[in-house]
Amino acid sequence: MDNKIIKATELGPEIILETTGNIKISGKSRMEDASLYYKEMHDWLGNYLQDVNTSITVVMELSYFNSSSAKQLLKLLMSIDEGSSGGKVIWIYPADNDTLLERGQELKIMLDLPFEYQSK
Amino acid sequence: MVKGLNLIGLLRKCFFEDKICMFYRGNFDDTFTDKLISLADYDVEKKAKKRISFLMSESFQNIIRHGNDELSTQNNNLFGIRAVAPFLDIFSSNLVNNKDKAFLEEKLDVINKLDKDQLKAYYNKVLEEGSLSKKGGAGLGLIEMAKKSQKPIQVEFRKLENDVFAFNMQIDLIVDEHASAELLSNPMSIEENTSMYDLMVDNNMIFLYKGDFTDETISPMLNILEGNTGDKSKSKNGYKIYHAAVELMQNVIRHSSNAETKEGIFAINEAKNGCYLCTGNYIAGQGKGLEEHVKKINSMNKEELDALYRQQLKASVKLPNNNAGVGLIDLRRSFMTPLEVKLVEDKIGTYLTIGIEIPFS
Repeated sequence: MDNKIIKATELGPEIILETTGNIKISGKSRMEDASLYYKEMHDWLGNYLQDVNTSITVVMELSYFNSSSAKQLLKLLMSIDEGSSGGKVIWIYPADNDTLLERGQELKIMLDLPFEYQSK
Repeated sequence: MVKGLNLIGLLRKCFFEDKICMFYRGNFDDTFTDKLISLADYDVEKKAKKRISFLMSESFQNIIRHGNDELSTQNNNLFGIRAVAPFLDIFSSNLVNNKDKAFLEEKLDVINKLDKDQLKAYYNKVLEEGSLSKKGGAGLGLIEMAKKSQKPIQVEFRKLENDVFAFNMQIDLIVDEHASAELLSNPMSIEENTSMYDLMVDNNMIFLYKGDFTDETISPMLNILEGNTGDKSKSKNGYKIYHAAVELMQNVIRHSSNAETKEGIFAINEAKNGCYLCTGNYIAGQGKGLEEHVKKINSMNKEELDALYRQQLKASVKLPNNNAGVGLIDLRRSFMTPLEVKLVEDKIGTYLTIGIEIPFS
């Protein structure tokens, strides 16, 4: 199994997937069909959880995400919640944007994974 | 003044024949141009695309070049494009003083009398003489525009105050050269667009778009809105507008009746303590259940809405489709103002309009 990088586009974030268990999603996410954009990430994670499955740290550093993307982010974190042997989320948000902090706190309510919040 | 969702009805009538149209009223900066140009990136021949980009850029630069900062209060600059076959019309309006007016009138009077070859020669002459105006323009941009537009530049000065004029300019670009001679000789009159300007001012409208809604076509608009949120003091409100625009526009894409063209209207108006965003489009099906859904979420408090959002989002993860089904709930809970919806049946199908007021903090 290899590391994978999905390069950022005008609409979608950069996604770095490492077999060491580090996942980083950064940038903005505002595509209308987010399921298409995040498919590769979900496929990679499916294989990872089957083959490697060490603890996963997800770093989320998003400046914006729409409701279609929220579903894909929750899907990712729910898969880790249910399938991995432990993990955590580091939620990095712009210091001047409380909404993005609240969005992170809201995802936390729906999950068992621990969250760390960092303003930037 | 037309308020709320009725605006969409008015705009549908005004732009009935427009394939694409976009108007933006406000204060511009240089970065606006690049973003705007990609709007022209629609289904026209490559050659025409290049000319459109150039002309949009130049007429926009013209606002910046000749626009008078001292005269400008808020929102008196307007930039618009309209695709009404066989033309693409580029309209701009900005304030100038008497001196600028005289310079522009003199230049445009000469330019509009010249044919293609004469324009070329005149361009070289002005370039050689190098008689730059105070603001760095020698009218070269105007000559370039005339060279590329194939039609005389339409101009109108409207006196507003003693030494203040609205300088309205329209370039008519032929995008369908195979159209009948009669159509080609009759571009839209500039008065139609100056009355659009009045309509926008009368209704406190700052942005409007009619055309296809796809990720590609809405992207330049969202980039403009996103760009305008750069100012830290305004960033909180800018983020709100941007988020509402994303969700409303994508709602049009998702529920459009036509799988290919996904045509709709989007507008932003200034409201008393914020702004009002609305969309209109034909939807697939009759929208049954939508009015009930909106009525339900309009009656909920923030806590209830947050709980419903989480419940719906979590449930959607198990579903294979793209839609999270939480866009409207999210809009309602983000601003805590009531969502307005209206469904109208006509010969074509069911037309849906959605609007929401965004209070500024």
